[in-house]
Amino acid sequence: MARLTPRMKNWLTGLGAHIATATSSGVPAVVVVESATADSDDTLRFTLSAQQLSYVRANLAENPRVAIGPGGIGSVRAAYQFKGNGLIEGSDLVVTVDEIYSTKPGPEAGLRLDVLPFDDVLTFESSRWRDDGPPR
Amino acid sequence: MRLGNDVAKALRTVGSGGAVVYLATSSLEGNPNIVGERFVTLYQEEYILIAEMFAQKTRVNLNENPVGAITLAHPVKGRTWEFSGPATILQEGHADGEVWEGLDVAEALAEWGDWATKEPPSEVPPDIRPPALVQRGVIALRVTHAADYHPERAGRPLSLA
Amino acid sequence: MRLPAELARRLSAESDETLVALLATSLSDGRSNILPVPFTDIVHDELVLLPDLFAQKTKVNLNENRAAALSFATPEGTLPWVLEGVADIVQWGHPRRFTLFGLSAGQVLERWGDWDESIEPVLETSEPAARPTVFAQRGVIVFKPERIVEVQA
Repeated sequence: MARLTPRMKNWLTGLGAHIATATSSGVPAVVVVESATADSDDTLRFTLSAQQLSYVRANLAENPRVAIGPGGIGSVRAAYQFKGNGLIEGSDLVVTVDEIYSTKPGPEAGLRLDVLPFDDVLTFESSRWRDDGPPR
Repeated sequence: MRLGNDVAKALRTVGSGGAVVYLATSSLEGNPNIVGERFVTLYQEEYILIAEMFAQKTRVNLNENPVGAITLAHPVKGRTWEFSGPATILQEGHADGEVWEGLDVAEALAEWGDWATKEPPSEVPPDIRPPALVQRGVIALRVTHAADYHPERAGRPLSLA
Repeated sequence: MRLPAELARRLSAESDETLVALLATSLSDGRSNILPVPFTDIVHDELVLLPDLFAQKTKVNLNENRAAALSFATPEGTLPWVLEGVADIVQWGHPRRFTLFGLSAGQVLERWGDWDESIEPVLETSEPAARPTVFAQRGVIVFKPERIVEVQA
C-alpha cells in the first residue's frame, strides 16, 4: 500500500489535479479537477461534473488505471506523480493510490517513493521543499 | 489541425517562469503516465514541442505507443485546453531527411534541440530548476484533436484557429 | 566484497578483451530487463562501473528496486561468474558530494562521466552491434556485488 504524506495531501486537496485515464489499448484522456479530499492515507476522492464523468466513464470501465499530477502551480512545486486504480462512486472518482513517484527535474526524476520507508519519504520532502502545501 | 496565436502565447509565457503543461502518455496495455513539463512551444502551428531531458516512463511509453495528451497546467487563466494526437521523441540519430507526421526532424532539432541556449532557464526559481540542463532531443506531439477540460465542457472540441 | 582477481582484471577498462556485461534489473513486481553494456571498469577491485547511455528500462527499474545481477559474455562464451548485488546510477546533475556505495558523485563523474573521452572511445567499439550512433551519457551505473555465483562456463 502506498502512503501519502501530509504535503502530498495538502497540495492535492488544495489545488486539485490533472488525472490521466486511458483506454485499454492505451489512448490517454485527461480530466482536471480543482480540489480533492483524502479519504485515507492511500485514497483520494475527486468530485467530477456530469460532463467529466461522461468523458472518462468508458475509459475507467474498461481500464481502472489512472495517473495523477497536482494541479495549478502544484504542477511545478509539488513534483509528484500518483498512480492507482480509479472507481466511479456516484459522481466521485475514488482512486486507491498504489505507486508514488518524484518528478522533480534532475537525477531524482522518476524515483519511486512509496517503496521507501515512510520516514525516508518525509526526510526526502523536507530536504527538498520548505512548504507543506500550496500558499494559503 | 492548425492552432492560432493564442495557443502559441499561452505556451510561451516567457518572463514569468514559463508555462507548465502536463504530458499524459500510456503503455500499450493502458497504464497511463502524467508528468509536468516546462520547456514547451508551439511549432509550425500544429505541433507542440517539449524539451526531452529526463523523461523515463514517457519514453518507454512512446517507444511502444506513440500517442499523447497535453493539458495546460499553469497559468491557466480560463485556458482549459487539452491537445492530443500522435507523439514521438525526435533526437539525433534519426536518418537524414526523416519526416515525422509532416515535420522535418532535422529542422525541428536545429531550432529546438538546444533549449537552454535558445531560452535560458534563468527565470526558473532555483528550487524547481533542473540542476543541469541535459537535453537529448525533443518530444513532439502533432495536435489532431483539441478539447476543453473545463468541468462543464470536458472533452468537447475546442475551436482555436 | 572483492571480485575474483581474474574477473577484476577482465572487467578493468585497461583490458583489451571484448567483453559485454549484461545487467539484469527488475521492477518491484518482478518484471525484469537485461541491458547489454560493452564497456566496464572497476574500482577498488570491488565495484563495477558501466556508462549509462540512457538505458531507459534500467533507470525505471532502479528507481524502484536496486537489486541487480551482472553476467558476462565474450566472443568465446559466457564467463563462469554471475554477480548478484545492488546497483544505482550516479547522474549528471547530482551534487558532487552525493555518495553512492562510498563513492562521491564528483569523483565518479570526473573520472567516468565522459566515458568516451576519458576511458575508451565508445563510438569505436569493436563490436558494431553494440555501438551507439551518437554518444550521450547520462551518468555512471555503479554495481556493488554482494554474492558471487559460479556457473558452468
